[in-house]
Amino acid sequence: MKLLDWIEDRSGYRALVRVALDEPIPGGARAGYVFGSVLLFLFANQATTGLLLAMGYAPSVHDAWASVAYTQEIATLGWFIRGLHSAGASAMIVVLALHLLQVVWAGAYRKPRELTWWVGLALLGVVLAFSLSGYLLPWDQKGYFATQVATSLLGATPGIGTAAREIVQGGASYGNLTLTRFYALHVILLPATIVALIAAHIALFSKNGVTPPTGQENAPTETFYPRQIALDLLAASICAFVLVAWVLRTHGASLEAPADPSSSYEARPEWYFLPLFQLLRFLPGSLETAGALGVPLVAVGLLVALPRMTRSAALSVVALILGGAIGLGAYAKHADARDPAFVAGRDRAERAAEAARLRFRGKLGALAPSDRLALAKALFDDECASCHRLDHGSDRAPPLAHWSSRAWIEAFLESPDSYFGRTDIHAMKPVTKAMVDGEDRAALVEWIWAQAGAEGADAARVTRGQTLFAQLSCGDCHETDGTSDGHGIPNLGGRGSAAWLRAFIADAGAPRFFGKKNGMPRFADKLTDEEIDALVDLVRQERLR
Amino acid sequence: VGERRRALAWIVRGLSTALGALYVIPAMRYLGSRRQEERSRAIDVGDLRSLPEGVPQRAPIRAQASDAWSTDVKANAAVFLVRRGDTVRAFDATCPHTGCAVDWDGARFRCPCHQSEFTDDGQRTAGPAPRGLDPQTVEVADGRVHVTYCRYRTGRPDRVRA
Repeated sequence: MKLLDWIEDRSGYRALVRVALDEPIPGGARAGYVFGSVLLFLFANQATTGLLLAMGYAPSVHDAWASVAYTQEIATLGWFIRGLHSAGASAMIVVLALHLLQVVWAGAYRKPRELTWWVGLALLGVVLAFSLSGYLLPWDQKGYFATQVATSLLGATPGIGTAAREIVQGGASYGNLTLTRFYALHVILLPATIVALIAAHIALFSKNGVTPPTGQENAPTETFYPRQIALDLLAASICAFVLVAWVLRTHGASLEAPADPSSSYEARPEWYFLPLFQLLRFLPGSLETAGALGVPLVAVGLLVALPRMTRSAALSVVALILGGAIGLGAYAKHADARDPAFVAGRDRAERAAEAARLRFRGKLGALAPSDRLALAKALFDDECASCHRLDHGSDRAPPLAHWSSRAWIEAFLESPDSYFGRTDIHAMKPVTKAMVDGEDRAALVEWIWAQAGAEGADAARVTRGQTLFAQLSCGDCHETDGTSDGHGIPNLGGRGSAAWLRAFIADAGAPRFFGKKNGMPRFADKLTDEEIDALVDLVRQERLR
Repeated sequence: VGERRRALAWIVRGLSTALGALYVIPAMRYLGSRRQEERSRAIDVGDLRSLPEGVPQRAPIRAQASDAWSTDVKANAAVFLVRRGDTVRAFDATCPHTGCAVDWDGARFRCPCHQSEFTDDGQRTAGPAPRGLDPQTVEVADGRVHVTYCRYRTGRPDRVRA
């Protein structure tokens, strides 16, 4: 206490605290007054979690997504902090709407509180700017494409559009400068602006005080402490509880695959911009600019003019704007849910997000063993599925369904050419049933099958198969020692074993594989060893299926 | 009235503490988490025969290293290699005082920051450095020099892994 007394002696801070706590509330404390305080709590939530997120974020095209993925996937409780930041942004819009409704209902926008009202409207604008600029920062598909729509609209503004857009983007298209500019906006300019506006809003509020409901102006005055502050804290706690419950349920905010400007994507903005989005869908192209800029402008103009309206006019205006927004937003959701293209696009995006998440973890060596197969499937979809299929045949490259199982080998021998799709590899002579059949055929197949691993193989058949391999002159073309150059004809030694497949995926054009006839990309430089190993496991499962 | 006021005061205190804890505890755990595995393994730093007899040579420790969200091949440190015959000694090129990079001036190691000086076998001869240069593990195999790099904390007389 001595220290506090000393500080009090030098600063007189207790008088300030007194003023704040003993702030008179004409008409007494009310639950209806909590919204402003809940917004302050949410602002503190955004500031705290935002600071922590900024400590793990790199605003560059190369690093942004990975740094956010690191926070989300690896850093302890990073997902929780990121979830609170994202959910907090949504909560802010909801509570802002409630605050606005309460103010309009109580008539608190009227003389002498017009300035408080206008500063409040400016705060609403800043909050929307915050959310718009923050959305891009993870540099994932969702943020990238949703923000494209916003900057395109900005660019369509008559007169200054093109220049404004290039300033915001740092160029004609998105890149490093877009991220650094959005970042500076989001963590320096907008926070400074909002702090100044909040200070002005609170100062103006304390000059004129609360607006008690009509007929209650003469109820006894209470001080802010303790009843109102307890109510405010209770409301903030309920809000915090809802946020935490939401974050736990959703495991934080979604992070989609890294932005890929060359991909197709069903872009949608955050939910509170959906009304504007839907408005654009309704308007024909020629009216788009007018609608996108004109309608919000008219809405803002009406809200600014509220203090000059009668109470019933003001209530109608606010009901119209909020009702219109909710109606348009709900319609957008409804239309999307019934649009098969959108549903399929969402499904694609979610699978891509999961694949990106697994590949990121794999790269950092932080993959759970149970996720290995999922990683392999994701890699297969990304890197292999344009030519190979695991579920059925493909006309581009060898089918991998049941690859190197006994049945697959048997069918391959019968008609080899049908197994190489549109590659340059052809001209192996079929080993028909007329040439070798029955038990002998099974023995030949067994010998080839056992190259991938002797476990489970019939030893007698393998020995017989090896003899047949020589008798049928297979060895005239195929080497079998596992190392020699086959001049475009694969060396069959160890074919299908894990080591063989690992080397094959790394470089199928190696001399012991298909050499110059190979058409498969070299994956040694593209995938990590762990990723190739996961693919090897996936493909080798087919042999035993 | 006094009792009600006291109860409210407790509610105010309790709720503010709970709300504070909601942020402080995750923040501490988040900031305290680190995951930067510097696996120490032998890294090839060059050819034995290319090292001049008795003249320290700077060699970067280049290795695939993961750094938070990225993994890259990069030089994370440097050592000085001193060859005498077939044996090589290696010293961390970091001054054990405040972590500046020392240099060989032809006769001794000198730290440009606070003028600490060290002999060619790492002994401190002048300046504020609390200990000599940190020796590193060296192996020579097939004519190649391999260093297993280890970073020590600066500013103390004993060697404690960083």
